[in-house]
Amino acid sequence: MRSNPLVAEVLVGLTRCGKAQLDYLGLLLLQAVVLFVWWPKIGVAQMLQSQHGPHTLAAVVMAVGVTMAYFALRAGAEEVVLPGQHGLRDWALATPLGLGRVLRGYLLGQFVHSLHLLALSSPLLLMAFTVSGGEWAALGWCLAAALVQALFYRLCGAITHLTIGQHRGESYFTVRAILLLVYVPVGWLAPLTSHVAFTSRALGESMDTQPVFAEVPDQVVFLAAYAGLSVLATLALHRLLLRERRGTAGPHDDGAVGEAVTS
Amino acid sequence: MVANGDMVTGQGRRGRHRACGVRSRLQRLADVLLLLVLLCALPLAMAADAVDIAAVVGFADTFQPGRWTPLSVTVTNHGGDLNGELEVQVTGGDELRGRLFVTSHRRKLELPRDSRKSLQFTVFPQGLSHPLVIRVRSSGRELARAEVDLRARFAAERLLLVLSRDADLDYLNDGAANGLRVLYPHPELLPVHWRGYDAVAAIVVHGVSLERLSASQFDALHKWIAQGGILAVSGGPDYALLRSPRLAALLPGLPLGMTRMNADALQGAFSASLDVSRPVHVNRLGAFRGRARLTAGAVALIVERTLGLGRVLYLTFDVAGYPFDRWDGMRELWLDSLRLPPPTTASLSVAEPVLESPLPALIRAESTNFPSPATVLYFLALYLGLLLAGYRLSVRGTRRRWLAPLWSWAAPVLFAPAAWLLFGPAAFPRGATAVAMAVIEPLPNSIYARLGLDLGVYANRSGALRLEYRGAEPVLYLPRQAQREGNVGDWVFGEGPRRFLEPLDRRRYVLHALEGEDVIAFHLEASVHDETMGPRLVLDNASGRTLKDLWLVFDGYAYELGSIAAGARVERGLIRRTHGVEVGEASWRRVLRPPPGVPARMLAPTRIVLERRSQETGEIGYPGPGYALLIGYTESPFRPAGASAGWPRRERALVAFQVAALPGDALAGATGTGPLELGDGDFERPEMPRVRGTAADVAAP
Repeated sequence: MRSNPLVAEVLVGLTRCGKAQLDYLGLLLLQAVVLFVWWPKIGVAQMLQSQHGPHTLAAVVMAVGVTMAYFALRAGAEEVVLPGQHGLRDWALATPLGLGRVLRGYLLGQFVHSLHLLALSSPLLLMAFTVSGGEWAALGWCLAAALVQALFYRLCGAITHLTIGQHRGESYFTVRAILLLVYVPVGWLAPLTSHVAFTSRALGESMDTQPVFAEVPDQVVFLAAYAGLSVLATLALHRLLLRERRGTAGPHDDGAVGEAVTS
Repeated sequence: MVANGDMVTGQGRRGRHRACGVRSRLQRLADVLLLLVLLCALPLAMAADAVDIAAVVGFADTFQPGRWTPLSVTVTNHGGDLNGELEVQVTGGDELRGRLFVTSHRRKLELPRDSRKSLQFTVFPQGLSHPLVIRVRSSGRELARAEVDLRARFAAERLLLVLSRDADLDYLNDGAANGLRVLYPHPELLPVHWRGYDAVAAIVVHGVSLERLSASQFDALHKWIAQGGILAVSGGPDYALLRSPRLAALLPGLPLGMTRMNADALQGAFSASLDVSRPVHVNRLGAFRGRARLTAGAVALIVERTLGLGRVLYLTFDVAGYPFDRWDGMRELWLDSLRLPPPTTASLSVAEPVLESPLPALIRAESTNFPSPATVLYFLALYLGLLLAGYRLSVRGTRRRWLAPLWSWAAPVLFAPAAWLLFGPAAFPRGATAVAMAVIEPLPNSIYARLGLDLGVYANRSGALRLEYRGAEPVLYLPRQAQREGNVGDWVFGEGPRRFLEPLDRRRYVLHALEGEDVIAFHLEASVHDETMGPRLVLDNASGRTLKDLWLVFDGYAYELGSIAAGARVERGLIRRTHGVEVGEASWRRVLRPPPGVPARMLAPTRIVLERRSQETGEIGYPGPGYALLIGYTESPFRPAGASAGWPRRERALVAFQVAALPGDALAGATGTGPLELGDGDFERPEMPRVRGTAADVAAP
C-alpha cells in the first residue's frame, strides 16, 4: 500500500500539522456537542419508565457520518488538503503514473484518511456506546457505511473539482449542495441510501424489533449502493482525468514529475 | 429411392434415437430428482409421524378458565432418540382490544426411541377462544404439534376432587353459579405445583394412599392446604392406609383400630333419617390434634385440624360405605363439614384494583445511574483541549514537530480505552439486571410461608434476557396493570430442574415485569401476649434465615426487636412506655429503617408493598384489631442462578408475619378449643418449642 505515492503522501500528511487537522478538529467539536446534547440527563429508572433507551450512539454515529462526508467532499474538491499533499489533477497531469494507479492510490489514501478521522472520533463513539446499549456488529456496520459513504463523497468532490474547480465560488456551493441534496431529499425519498436512516435502523429503537439485524439485507443494500455509485464516480473521474491528460499538450517532463512527487 | 428411403429411414431412426436418448436422459434425470426429493422429504415425514402428543388439561380433562390449572402432556417417541424441547403456548389477553400475548412454557425433553414420557405444566388459560398449542422441537425443527381445544373441557363451577377407587359423591354436583363439580382424577395426574389447585374447592381422599404421589405432588398438596386448601379424608376398614407416613403427617390423629357403633348412637350423632339396620364400624382414634366436630359419645366421628390457613378433616367412617352411601343427608353433612369459603374472584382477574409496583422505586433507589453530564463535559474538554494544544504546539515551533504524529494518533489511542473504561465497566457496566421485591408472609401453625414476588428484568443493551433462577418456584404472570394498559409482551418460562424466564421483547431499557406467587418453606413461630404493661413476644426463628431490623407493631405502638439470628428463640417482655414508639394506623409503615449500606430512599419499595397489603385487607385494616405484625428484612428466596448468577441484583425481601394476639394471662399454647395442636412442622422438628404461634384455630383475617 505504501508503494503507492498517493498513499504515502497521505500517510506523511497525517503526521504533520496543517489546516486540514484544524478543520476536522472543528468537526470533532461538533460531534462532541452532539454527544453532550444527546447524553442521557435522566436516571435509569425514568428511562425504564419511558421504555426508550438513550439515542446517544445513534446521534453521534450520524454526526460522524455527516462530518466525514462533508470533510471528504471538501477534501475531494481540494478545499482542504493535508500538509504536503498534491491534488489529483497534479498527479494525473504532472506524473507518468498510470491513471489506474493514481485512482487506486487516491481511493486508498481516502480510506486511510477516513480511518484516521474515525480514530479521532473513537473516544466519543465509545462513550456513547457505553450508555446506548448498541451492539458491536451494528456499530461496525454503521462505521463501515460511513467509510463507504465518505469515499463516494470524496469522488463527488473530485469530480466537482475537475469540472468546475477553477471557479471557487461555484465549487464551494456545489460541494455543499451535493451534501444537502443527497442527505435530505434523496435520503428522504430513498431511505435505503440514507446513512441517517441506516444508523437509525441499526442503532435506534427499530433495531430492537429486528434482533437479527445482521440477517436483514439493509446494510448490504446500502453498502452495495454506495459501492456501485463509487464505481460509477471512479469511472467518471477516470474519464475526466483521461480527457485532461489527453488535452495536455507536449510530452511529459520526467524531471518535473519527479519533483512533483518528491516535493 | 430405396437407398434414399433407407437413408431417410436411417436418419429418421437416428433422429428418433437421439430424441429418445435425450428424452430418456431427461426422464432419468427427473427420476433421480424425484428420488432425491422423496429421500429428503421422507425423514421429515417420518420424524413428523414418529412423535405423538397427548394432553390432559386440568383434572380429568376438565378445568376452570381464569384459574391456574395443571396440564399433563404425554409424548410418545416411535422414532430414533429424541433430544429436544417440549413447549406449551398459552394465549392470553383481550382479543377485542388487540392485546393478545403468548406465554410459552418450555421443558427439556429427552426420549430414547420407542419410549414415552409425561411432563406436567401449570398453565393459566385466561379464556377459551384460543387453543393450547403443544409442540415438540428438536434442533430448531418442529417434530410434532398438537392443539388442545379448551371449549370442550371447561367447567364454570368450583371443583371438588375425589381421590377414590369406588366412592360416588356425585350428589355434591351443583350446576348453580358458584356451585360444585365433582371430579375423580387419577392421583398420578395431580398437580406438581400447589397453584395447580387454583380451581379446587376441596379434596376428598377415600381408600387411596398418598404414597402413590410423587414428592413434588405431595409437596404441592401440602402447600395448597397450608395456604388455605381443605382436605377431607374418609376412614374405612382399610385404615392402615391412613397410617402411611404422608397421610399421618396431615391427619389430625391416627386410627388405632375399628370400633363398633350401634344404630342409636349413629342416628343420635347424624340424624334419625340415617337408615341403620345393623351395627357400623368406624375408625377408633387415640389422641388427636385439632378438635372433634362430631362425636357419638366418646367416639369421634369427624375431627378437624388446621394446617396453616387450611384445614384437614378426618371422617372416621366410610363415606361411601353402608349406611352413608344411601343416606340423603350426606350432601348436607359434607357441606357442613367442609364449610367451603365463598368463591373468590379469579386469581388473576384483570378487573381487580391495581396497585403500584415497587419495582420502579427499587430501581430508583439502588440502580447505577448514567455517568453525569459534568463528567462527560470534563472528559470531552480534556480530549479536545489536548488535541488543540498538541496542534498549536506543533504548529508554532519546528522543534516540537515531533508532537504532530503523537497528537494525531496517540491522543485517540489513549483516550478511546480510557473512555470505554471510565464510562463503561467502571461507571456503567453493560448487561442485564434482575430486580426482585419479595414479601414473605409466614402461615400460622405451618412450616410454610406465602411468597409474593414482584420481578423485573432489564438490560442496557439489546439482546436476549434469560434469567435462570432457583430458591423459589413461583407461578409467574404478567402484571394486571400492564394487561389493562395493553402493555404486555410475550414470555418464555422454562420449567423443570433449571427454571428460567425470558421476555421475547429484546428491547433495551425496557423493564420487563412479572408478578409471582409461591408457598415456600419458612418456619416462623410466634405468639404475642397482650399484657398490662405491653406485649410479651415469644418468637422462634426456624426459617433458616436471619431476620434483620425486626419490628413488632401492636396496638398503636411499634417495638424495635433488632436482628434475630437463624435458629434463635426469643422471649421478650416489652413495656409500652419505654420500648414502644407510638404510631398511627398508617404511620407504622415508616418504622422500618433501611439496612446498613442502603440509602434512606430504599424504604420506598417497602412502604409500597405494605400499603398494597393494607389495601388488600380492606376495612379490616393491617395488621387489624387484635393482631400484631412482625416486620423485618431477610434474604430473598428468589435468586438468579446458572448463567444469570453474575447478574447485578436489586432485591429486597420483607417478612410480614401477622399474629393473633393472645390475652395476657393466657398460657402459651393453651388457647385452642381442642387438645394441644403441635403443628405440621413438628413432624419434621420434634425438638420444636412448646410455645405455639398464633391460635391455631384463628386463621388470619
